[in-house]
Amino acid sequence: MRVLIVDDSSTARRFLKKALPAPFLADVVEADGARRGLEICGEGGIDLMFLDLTMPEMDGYEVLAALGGVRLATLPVIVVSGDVQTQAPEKAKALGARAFIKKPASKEQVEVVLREIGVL
Amino acid sequence: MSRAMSRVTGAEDLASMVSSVTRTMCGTTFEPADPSTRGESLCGQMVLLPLGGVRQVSILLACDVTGGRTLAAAMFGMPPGEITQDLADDAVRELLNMVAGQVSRALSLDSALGLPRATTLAELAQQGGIGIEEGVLLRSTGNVDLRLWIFERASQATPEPEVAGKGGVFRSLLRAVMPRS
Repeated sequence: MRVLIVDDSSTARRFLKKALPAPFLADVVEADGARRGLEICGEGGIDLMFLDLTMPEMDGYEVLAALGGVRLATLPVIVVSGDVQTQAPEKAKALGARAFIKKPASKEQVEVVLREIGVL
Repeated sequence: MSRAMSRVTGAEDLASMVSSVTRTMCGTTFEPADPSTRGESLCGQMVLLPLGGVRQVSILLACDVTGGRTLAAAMFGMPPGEITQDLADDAVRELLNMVAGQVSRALSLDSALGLPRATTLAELAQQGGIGIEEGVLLRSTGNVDLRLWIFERASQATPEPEVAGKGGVFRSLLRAVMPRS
């Protein structure tokens, strides 16, 4: 499984990689911004995306909108964000995200969500 | 002060919010400490994050270079000597981002978080200044000191003289809380 982590923070990307279960660590691709994340998605081969919401130039909501319903039907996107207000998960899920994890994501939280969305 | 605002009551609450992040990331927790022990010496690295919305609430985090590197080293599981300034800066920004989300929720601001950016005491002074003494000081068991302020533009609210910042432009949303013995 090829995993894409889209977050402008290298700290967040590093920490999320540490929280991934072993089977997901073999092929992790990182994008330090939304546009780069969309480029990588466009190249194909991504099976799972972790997406931050608060990023410069283009935020996570715009990434979800750009991917669109057809792509999101086959690409599970898990939003990982420090924005923990009630409308953030609702809005992300309305745009097609499969799940929402509050930062910082622990190993346990990530594993539970991966099982919930059926990829683990 | 509204009921929602009073949910962020000062040092104890902020220590709890910061610790909930750092406990997960590196097993470190923070406790309130006496702010007078650090003063401006802790303002070498300052990051400002607007919480969005019409009230123009912002959160400001300050630490020194050693503290930033120590914290980043703990988060990444690396020796402090291998932490570059870029890594330390990113770790501090990300910590503020995560804490800001909790503060925003506690204040019921209902708006998306802004982006963290570096700032300086000089820049803040140009905008009217913040009261150095109004920030809370948090100290970890690993001897990392952090200073945090939460404030809103006074033009969006009625200033309270006892908490107004220098020049009265900013209004602190933190009560003046001394460490509990």
